[in-house]
Amino acid sequence: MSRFVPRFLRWSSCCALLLFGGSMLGFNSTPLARAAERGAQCAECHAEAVASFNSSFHSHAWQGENDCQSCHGSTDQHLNNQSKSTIISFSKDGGRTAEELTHQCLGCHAKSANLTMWDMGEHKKNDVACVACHHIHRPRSTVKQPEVCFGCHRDVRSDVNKMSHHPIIEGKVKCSDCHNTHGTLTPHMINAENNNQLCYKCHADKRGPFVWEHPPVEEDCLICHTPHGSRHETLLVEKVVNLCQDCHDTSEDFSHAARAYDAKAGFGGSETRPHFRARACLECHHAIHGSTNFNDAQFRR
Amino acid sequence: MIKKLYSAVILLSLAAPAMVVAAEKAASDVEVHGIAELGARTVNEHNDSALFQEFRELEDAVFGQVQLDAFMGAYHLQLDADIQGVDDQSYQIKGGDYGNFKYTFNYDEMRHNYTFDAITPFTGVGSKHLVATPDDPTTWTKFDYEVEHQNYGGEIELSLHSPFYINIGADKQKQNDLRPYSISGFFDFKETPEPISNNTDNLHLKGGYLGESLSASLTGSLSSFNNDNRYLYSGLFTNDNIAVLPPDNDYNKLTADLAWRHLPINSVLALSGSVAHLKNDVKLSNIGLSAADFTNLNRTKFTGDIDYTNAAIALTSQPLAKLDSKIYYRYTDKDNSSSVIAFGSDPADPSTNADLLMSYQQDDAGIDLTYRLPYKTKAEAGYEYLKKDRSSRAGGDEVVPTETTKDDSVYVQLKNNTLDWMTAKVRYKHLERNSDELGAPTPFYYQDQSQDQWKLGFDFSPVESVDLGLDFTYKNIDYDHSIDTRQNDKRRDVYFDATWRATKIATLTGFAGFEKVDTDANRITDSADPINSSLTQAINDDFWAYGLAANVAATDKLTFNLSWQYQESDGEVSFGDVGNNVNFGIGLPLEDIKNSDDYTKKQLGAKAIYAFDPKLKITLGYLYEKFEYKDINYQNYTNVVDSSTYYSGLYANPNYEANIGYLVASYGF
Repeated sequence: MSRFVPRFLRWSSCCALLLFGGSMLGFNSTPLARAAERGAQCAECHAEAVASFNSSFHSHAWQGENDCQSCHGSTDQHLNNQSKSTIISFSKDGGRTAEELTHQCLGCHAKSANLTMWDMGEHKKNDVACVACHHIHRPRSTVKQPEVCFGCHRDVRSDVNKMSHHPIIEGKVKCSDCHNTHGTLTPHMINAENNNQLCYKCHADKRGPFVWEHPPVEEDCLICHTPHGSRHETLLVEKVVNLCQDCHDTSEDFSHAARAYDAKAGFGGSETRPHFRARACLECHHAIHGSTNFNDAQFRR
Repeated sequence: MIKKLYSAVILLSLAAPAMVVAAEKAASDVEVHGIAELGARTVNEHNDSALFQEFRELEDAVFGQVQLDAFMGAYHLQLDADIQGVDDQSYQIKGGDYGNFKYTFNYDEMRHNYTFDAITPFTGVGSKHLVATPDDPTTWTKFDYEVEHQNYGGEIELSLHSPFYINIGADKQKQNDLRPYSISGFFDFKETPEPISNNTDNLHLKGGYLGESLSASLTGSLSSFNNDNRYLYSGLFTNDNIAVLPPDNDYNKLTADLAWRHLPINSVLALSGSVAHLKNDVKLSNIGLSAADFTNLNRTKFTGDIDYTNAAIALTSQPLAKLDSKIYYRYTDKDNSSSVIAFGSDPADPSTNADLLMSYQQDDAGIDLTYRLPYKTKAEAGYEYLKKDRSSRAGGDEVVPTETTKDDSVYVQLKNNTLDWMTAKVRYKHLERNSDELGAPTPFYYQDQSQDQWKLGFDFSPVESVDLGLDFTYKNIDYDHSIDTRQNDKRRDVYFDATWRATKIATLTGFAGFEKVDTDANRITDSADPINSSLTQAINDDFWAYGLAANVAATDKLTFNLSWQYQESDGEVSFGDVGNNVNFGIGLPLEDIKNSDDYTKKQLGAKAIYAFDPKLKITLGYLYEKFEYKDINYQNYTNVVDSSTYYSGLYANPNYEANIGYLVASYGF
């Protein structure tokens, strides 16, 4: 508790400084009422939608410079025919393509720094409109991760619930920590030039340079690990011995690496050597990500 | 230096909004709303399982959350605070004025728990000097494998309603406490914790231009990893007293990005390039060793020196009204110029020459085409070529090419949503990998391989109240010329989910998933005759999970929520006939493995939410979790196998059964 209280106080102070300091210094006020007036006609039928928009992030950011028609298009036809087809409706049954809906958003946001690579991304290619993830009429348009992502990425939802996983469901790692959902030039829209550079952002201890390198580690972390979750320890793609033997099953490693380890090789079995117990290979070859011990060709120390 | 800059950025993050808005005019109304939650929970879990609390602090505690949004004219401020426990907290403050400036300031803390109540035959746990104690486990040192992570930082972006912007940010990642390690001799080892005390400091400065047609930016970044523990001394094994821990390093990078829109035929051109340098120095004296520990040592200082170069270019176009295209090229180069450490009398001995320093170059080019057919159907096709040239430093400073692989892959896809209530997708991909390293011995990932993948996907809403989704994937990889190691890898995944808004007051949701992985490998039994002495190993892993949830609004004020989730992992390893291969030093016959990372996990959740009014509500909840794990590697676990091999209990008993009750008051304002 003694550690918790100062931390909480520090953060409370920061918040108070920004909020109180801001209000004391004064902020520009532009008449939101202008938009409200223009939205009044819409509110006759869509009172709830107009009210929610007026409390939204967009409404405050625009400060009355835009109104319903900025996103939903001209209402001229819609006033005579209340069909969704006479307006740009963002609802599921609105009849508009993802490209049309995204076009509305890009009218303002095409110049946003984080949308620079939108045209290169997988989401554009796969018809994911902005509103598939963002709720424009809410106070916050921030995407609720990972729930929104799991709506389409069912395989990832399965993975992150497995025994071994990154702390994604615990809220400590967000999808957007690793992926730029707005587009990149990289495969899988990752936030780095390649997988290793992405992993090193949190695992800088694996960055090296090492005196003794393990080639697959240097080439691609995903040769041995899977990023979202695994039924095997430490996010490995296979059980340790099987994974190691997919490379080290050769005559030069024949002494113990290539042996077939069966049910007798566990703690209770008749085998006496410890190669298949507990963490198996990693019990001895612990520095498997690389070593700077000058005398450690086998990553043992 | 980075620390000073970091402090400056944090102060700037705090001060800048105030400075900017000071230039604004009159005061205005402040609109504040948000949610505050305060709760208390009680937890009953008897096994003291670290897995139960792997990334979350679940103990009897008071906890709370605050979400606040404040708007003052065009200025906004968001605060999020989540306090789940003493070492499980996060805070974030975001704010800004659209088109003018924005900032983020965050703190996040968690504890990664590996195993509680472990024991080790060493004293001095947590220090870099371990002292061995007798073989009797009752006298061993008790400790928890756990690492505390703290991340904090901030960034600010200023554009002042101009097309130019500048973004500066810094963050710090701190890790402390104990992570699993083993002190290893030749054929023996003793599990013990590695003392963890390290920091990673990151700083970036970005400047850019955002125009109607052109966006460009230049980013410089620095990252420094500092480990307070360079080595771990055990004094246990005659020649292996020193275990060397991860080295410090410094990484800097310069990145340039450009996107050019509104080009002819609706084209967009994007470019990205970066150069980076990673370096460190490791002296023998830093890691507790001296030249006297070696014979014929060529140098007493290792200089780590790696350069990374990346470039990517892509052009998207619409050459025909119904045709979209994308062509791209990506180049990656890793150039490892680090010192080669060598010792020993035989310069060709791989155990005394650290010359396996890897460099590689990768060229990746491809084209994607999308054509819009009638009836809301899209046809896609693409081709990708990827070539990777690897090299090592065999022979000292000389760069020696090693393996080269070339991948050719093609795909086709059809997607249709003629019916507004259904989207269907089918995709086929084929990859052919050609390696210049054929046969044995060759690691599986650069063997020749032939890969086929089918994907089917459906999302449909047959009636307004029902949403259904189904994904199916089949993937088969044949390692065409492999003699030993992996031969075939077959994966089948099915995922299904459903939502049924049964009535105005009740919603039912459910999901199910099944994954099946079958891997065949050859394990050789006679090094002198690998082809005729191989035996087959079949690894069969099944995983399935399902979940159901119901949400019922019993009255205007009372809502019930009930959920159930189950997952099961079932792995088996079986061996083929060993025939006459009896000379490989293990007992026959081979016994199949029935428990290979087997586990079940059950979760039951129930809660009742009572809303006194639109602002105030109370939630009373209960959560039950049970996890059971069985694996051949941990069956009949014991700490002492013989006088030189000791286990600490790491991952040995992750099972748990937990009951959690909680009460939360939530107030919206």
